[in-house]
Amino acid sequence: MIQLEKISKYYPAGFGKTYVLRHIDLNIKEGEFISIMGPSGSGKSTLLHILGLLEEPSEGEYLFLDEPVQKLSEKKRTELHRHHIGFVFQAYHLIDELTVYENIETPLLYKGTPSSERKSRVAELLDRFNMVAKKDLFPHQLSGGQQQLVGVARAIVHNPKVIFADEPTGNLHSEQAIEIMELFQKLNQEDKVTIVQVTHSETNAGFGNRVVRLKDGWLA
Amino acid sequence: MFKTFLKIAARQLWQGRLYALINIAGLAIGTACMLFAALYIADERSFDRFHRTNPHLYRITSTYRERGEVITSGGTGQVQGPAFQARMPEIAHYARVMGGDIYGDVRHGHDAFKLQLLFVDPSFFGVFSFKLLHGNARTALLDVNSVVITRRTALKFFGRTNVIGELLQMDADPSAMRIGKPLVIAGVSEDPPANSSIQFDVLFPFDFMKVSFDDTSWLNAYLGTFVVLRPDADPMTVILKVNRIAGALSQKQRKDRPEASAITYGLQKITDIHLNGHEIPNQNGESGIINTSKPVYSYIFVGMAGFILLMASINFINIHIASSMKRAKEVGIRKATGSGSGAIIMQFLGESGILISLSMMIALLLVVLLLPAFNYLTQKHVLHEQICSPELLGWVFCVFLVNVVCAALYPAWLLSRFSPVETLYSKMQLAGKNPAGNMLMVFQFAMAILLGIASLVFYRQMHFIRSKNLGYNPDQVVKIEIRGVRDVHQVHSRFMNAMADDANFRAISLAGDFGNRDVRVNGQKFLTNVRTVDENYLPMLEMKLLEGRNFSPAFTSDQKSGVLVNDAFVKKAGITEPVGKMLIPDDYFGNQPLTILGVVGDFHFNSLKERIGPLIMPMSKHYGGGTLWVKIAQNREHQAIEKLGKTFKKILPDAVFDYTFLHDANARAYASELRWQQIITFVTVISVFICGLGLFGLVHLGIAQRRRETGIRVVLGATRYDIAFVFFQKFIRIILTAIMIASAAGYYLMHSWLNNFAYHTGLPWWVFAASGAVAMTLALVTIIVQALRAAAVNPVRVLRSE
Repeated sequence: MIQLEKISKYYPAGFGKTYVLRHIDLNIKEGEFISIMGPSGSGKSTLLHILGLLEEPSEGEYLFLDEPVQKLSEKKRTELHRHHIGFVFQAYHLIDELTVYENIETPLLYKGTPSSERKSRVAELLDRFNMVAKKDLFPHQLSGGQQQLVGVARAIVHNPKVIFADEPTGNLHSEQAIEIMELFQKLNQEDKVTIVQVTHSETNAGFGNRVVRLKDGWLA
Repeated sequence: MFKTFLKIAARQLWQGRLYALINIAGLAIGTACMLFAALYIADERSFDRFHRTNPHLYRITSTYRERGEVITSGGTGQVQGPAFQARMPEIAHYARVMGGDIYGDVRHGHDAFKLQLLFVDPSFFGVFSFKLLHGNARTALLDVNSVVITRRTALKFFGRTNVIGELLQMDADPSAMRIGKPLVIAGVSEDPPANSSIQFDVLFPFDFMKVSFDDTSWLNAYLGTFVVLRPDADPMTVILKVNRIAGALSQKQRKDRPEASAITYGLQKITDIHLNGHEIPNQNGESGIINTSKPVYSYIFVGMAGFILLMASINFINIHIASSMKRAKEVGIRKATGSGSGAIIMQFLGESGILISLSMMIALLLVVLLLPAFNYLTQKHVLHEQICSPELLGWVFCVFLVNVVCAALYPAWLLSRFSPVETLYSKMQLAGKNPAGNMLMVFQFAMAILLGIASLVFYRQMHFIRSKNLGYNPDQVVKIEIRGVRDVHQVHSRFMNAMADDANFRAISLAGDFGNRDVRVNGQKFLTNVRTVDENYLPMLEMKLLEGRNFSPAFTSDQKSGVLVNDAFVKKAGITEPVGKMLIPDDYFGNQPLTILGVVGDFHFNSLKERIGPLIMPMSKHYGGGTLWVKIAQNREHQAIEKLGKTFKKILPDAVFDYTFLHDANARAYASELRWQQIITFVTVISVFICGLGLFGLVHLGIAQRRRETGIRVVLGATRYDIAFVFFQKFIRIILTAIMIASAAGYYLMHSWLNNFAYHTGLPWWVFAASGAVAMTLALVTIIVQALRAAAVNPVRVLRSE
């Protein structure tokens, strides 16, 4: 599903370049649950951003669903986003002004899903995540774990093929973290969603079925 | 302390330089408008203050009853001034002044000019403070044929100012003809200042005018009588005495004319005249006073300037509140380290003070630069020197204080109330929710839209007036005035001969306006307009004859006893078969009964501000008239005017050839409306600009503050247009509310304004829709342009910095 060939990312620094990623070759098949690990500054997040089409690589080729991403127009890339990709962030990044319900609904609005379908889909997720009672609350009225649950719900509401999660449990304590990880595992196994997560924790990585290690921008 | 304060203020301004620029620009424009309004008022109030006899210089007013209405006029007859002074020691001097709208042709050698004549008593230079350049102020106007001319008149005739003893001619003037001597220049005066209500080119002795027009009636009110009271005199006592004297002296005349209303006299300070002219509409301008104005114009100016300043202040408040989030942390830290609210208010006030001071300076610069435009729009003659007057600097200071209090105090107070815990731990919920700011914005946009509606309606009405069917065709018609005592019939027939068989001309007609006069018809008596015409008049102007016939040379009796009337006259008189009926005009026309020959369709012989009234048209061949109307062939204007000028010079070598196209003459009636239209358009553009600036600033700030949200939305798959819509949503309700308020207020205001016109356009819905649409488009463009840029930001950078 995802193929990276000799992907590099660098920034100009003085007369030379500072490499963040160097010659990354990576193949991700549909249905995998991959954990990207490595010390701070090893390029994990950058790799995830490139995979999630949020950043462009400086060199190399990236095929997403067999399509070369670099050659796509911005519109096309937005289309891919809307239909196939979900994001979960460490800091949740919920929209403060919107309620739980509205936050989950947002990707469907951008996807252009009809109203009745939106309603049933959001209701289904609220039910599944046991959040029906909290649907009218605003993010700041929720605990961190609950906020991240909303974040995950929002990431999968439009049935993406792949979820990219950037340290999804980084701001949570261990109990909440395990809850989220189990959820990911279930999504991966039952709903066949491909998951790519960046994590520091070996425990979290244990929920997945492959680990990719980075060091100083190199694939270890 | 003060140094750190200044440093922080300077850094703050630099950091938020875009917002500072928006605020400074808006406030500078608003302040400049306010200063222009101040200049306007100062100029209005400066009228006639230069007379050294102030505050004891008064004009005598006459109050009488006419047709059930109490009227106060600034005019008197010829007898009041001398009679009052002779009997009252309280009156130190008096001077009668007759003129204002009296013009005559004055000649020196072959040069003749149409000049503004003023007939005054020899005491003129003692009562008023016009400067005399050459000649003796006390004796200059003692001889009946002596005159005083102004500097610009002297330069026109002689190219120099010391022209004492030079001679001038007034060939067709009734007085000059009787005296039979040329006029001798006995003095040259400085030109009257622009802010003088009394204006003139040539001063004549009052006795010169009396040679041809000696009036002993106490019951007339046309010329201006000015008195200088002794400093110890009480004006109230003077008024009582004056009325007693007048009552006794006019007793006999009132007995002879029992229908004339009793006149009571009053005193009006000359400095009050400009804003309260006591002019009687449709009366000849002979009271010596011109260019009068109304206080309401000053109010409108201050009102409009105030609104613009208010709009700029609203920008200031809104941008400050919206950007306060950035400063919240600073406030929190300051408070945590022990600062009180007062110190924080002072700090923010100080920062605003710097901003406002900067905008004040720019405002002064704008005033200096735009003064010519202001003078053009308001027809004033304000000089650059007047900008530095203490009065105006006082205004600057007032506007500064008002700005600080209105615009800067509220945001400063709001900021000072932030609690340190909330700001430092990011629990603030203030962003985005600002009901007071939203209300101010609604008000601001409503004002701009209202102004848009007003200028649209104004424009439509002016267009309506200019394109309305007048009931006649004014195209290619030129009016030529024949001033003075002339044999108009001879002039007319010589013109006719000169133009016969000339392809440049289509028709020529002799006509004259005789104002409002009494007429008796069908057993009633009412006022009617009188215009003398001849048989060529109707066909030349393509007027419609509804009934009967036009004048015809075939019937010689037409000249003396025929008359044409308009439809309005027939209706007013209530006659069913008008042709053949008789009417009797007043004694000016010899009380001679006239037979109605034909009825003319109503046409606008006055401006469209007045409803078409009754009009009778006797024949100019018999009753005279002073204007030649000439219809020129298509595309022959140039040759025709040249030919007319030459012919005029041949027939009347001493007179000034003075012609007006009928279109221009008609347009002159709307000159002041046209000026107001320009002013309102100007104000609308400024207010829309300021609204746009404010909106731009707020959107810019909103985008900066919602970068994180924008980033999230982009990650979730929002397009740039989705992002733009998020921002537009916030403002759309504000603008819609503003449109509704402005439409309601606009409908009410414009409806009552249009009702001032006898003939006016309607108020179609699209006027409101168009103004609203412009506001909406402006908002849309402002928002979309910025939102698109905001949406193009890389979400990774936004989200990572969290």
